[in-house]
Amino acid sequence: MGFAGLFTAPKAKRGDSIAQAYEQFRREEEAWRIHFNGQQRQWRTPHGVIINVDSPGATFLHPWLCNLGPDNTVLIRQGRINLQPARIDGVTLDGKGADGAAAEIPTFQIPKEAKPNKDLESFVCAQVEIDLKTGKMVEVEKSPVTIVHLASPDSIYRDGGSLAKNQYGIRPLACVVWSDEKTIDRLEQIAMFDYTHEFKPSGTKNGRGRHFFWV
Amino acid sequence: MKSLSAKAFNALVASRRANRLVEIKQEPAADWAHPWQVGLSYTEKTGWKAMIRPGFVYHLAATLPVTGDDGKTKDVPLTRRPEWPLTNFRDIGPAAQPISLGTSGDTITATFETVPKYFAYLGVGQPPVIAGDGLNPVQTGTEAQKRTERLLKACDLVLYQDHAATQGTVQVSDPSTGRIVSVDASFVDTSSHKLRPYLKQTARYVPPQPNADAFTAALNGWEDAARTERHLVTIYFVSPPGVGNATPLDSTWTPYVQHHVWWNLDHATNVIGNPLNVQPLRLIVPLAGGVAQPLIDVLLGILNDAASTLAQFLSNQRYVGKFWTA
Repeated sequence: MGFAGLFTAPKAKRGDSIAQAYEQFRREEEAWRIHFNGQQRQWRTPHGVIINVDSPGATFLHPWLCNLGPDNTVLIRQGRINLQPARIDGVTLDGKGADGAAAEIPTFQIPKEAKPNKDLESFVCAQVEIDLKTGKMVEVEKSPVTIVHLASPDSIYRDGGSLAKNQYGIRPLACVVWSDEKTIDRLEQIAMFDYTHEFKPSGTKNGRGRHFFWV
Repeated sequence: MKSLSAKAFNALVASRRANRLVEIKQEPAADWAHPWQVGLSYTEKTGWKAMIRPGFVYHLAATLPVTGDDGKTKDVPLTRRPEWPLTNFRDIGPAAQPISLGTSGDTITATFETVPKYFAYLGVGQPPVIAGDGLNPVQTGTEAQKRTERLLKACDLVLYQDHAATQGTVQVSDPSTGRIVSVDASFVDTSSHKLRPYLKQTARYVPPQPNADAFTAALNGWEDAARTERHLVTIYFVSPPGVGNATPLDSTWTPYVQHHVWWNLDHATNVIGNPLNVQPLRLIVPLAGGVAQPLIDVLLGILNDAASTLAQFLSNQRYVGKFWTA
């Protein structure tokens, strides 16, 4: 697009009417105005317009990225543990069914009856199921990596790794911050990488094994 | 229109003026904010304050101490976005205090924290030199340099995770049947321990001494650290040029944040549960010269069975914590 079409007012000549020239100039002035196109912010003043252009934001699209949706749903970006994709009702988080066919991308529903712990926090977690006889993850057909919601993963977590009394290893993905016992305020992201998982059985009778996760 | 009114002309000029493009500003991209990222703010009332983006150890966000209006201090998780007034600073450069003092003959020698090159480039002066008897530190540099050089202050933020720990005693008795070494382990008092990881600020972070090695522990007993710690952040403040050493830290100083950790963490100890469910270890070792000699013989593997027993006992009874990226 050239500039020629933008300037329609003829050049003034000696003897032209000032009023006529003014009218032509006024019409053209309207075409010169700065219009908002929704891509930037304008600060309009009597002395001119300042345009603020946002640089592209630094986005980190990492595995397990959790976004809180309406009705306490959570959209979770695909993540893997021991290369196994997480699934919700058998569908991977990027929308593949058990047979690999495309399916609707699932969202995780924080249960309606869910409540936070005493610190007004709860957790969206990946859950790994293992075979206690072998210490390995169960078969793919059994969806070894799923998503669960827990008020508190384990009260004695600080002794290391992810403790489990049973065959389930827990990897917190996001902290759900509650305003009160009924209202979710926001999510704070915890997990940002795919994980390797290993189960270490207890060395003592009736002892507890440990589920370790690392990146 | 047969004539041009002043009103119409002025309206056109006003419209043209209002629609002229004065400036185009490109805003900086909003950086991706990582866990533990520190933002700083200043008010006359509270001074410099830190706001730390939540960082997690396994599933729990670290806490920091917040003093309420009632004067009571409580631990508030970072997920509640508490503000943390910065109160502990060290001086680096011209106003620095020595890290250590020593003597070399009649001369006192002082060691100062090195001014990071980046801040030296910005104009931060060098530490003073200790002259003569060491009682009167003298600032280096010419008067001209002093008029333009800047001061530097810093503080450190450190992450702690409490965990169980043991202490042990070693006793050597010498009955007629032979020499008996008794090694007892017990828990360090953890009644004041916190479940959550927590942050502390300190003027200068000094890493802890490592736990006693097995050799030392077997000879002298031990008391292991009951917490794991990680240096998260160093916050520097650079003064305007040419200010006096006693210039207070206010809004005219420029902050710089150096992060040492960018990711959430996991933490584990080498053992879990209660390992102290065994009787104290008793070893019978042969008579030899000196009290420690039998133990040294054991540790050096002269008595392989005893050495193995002692090593296993110590590894089962002692706690070591560790952080890793999660």
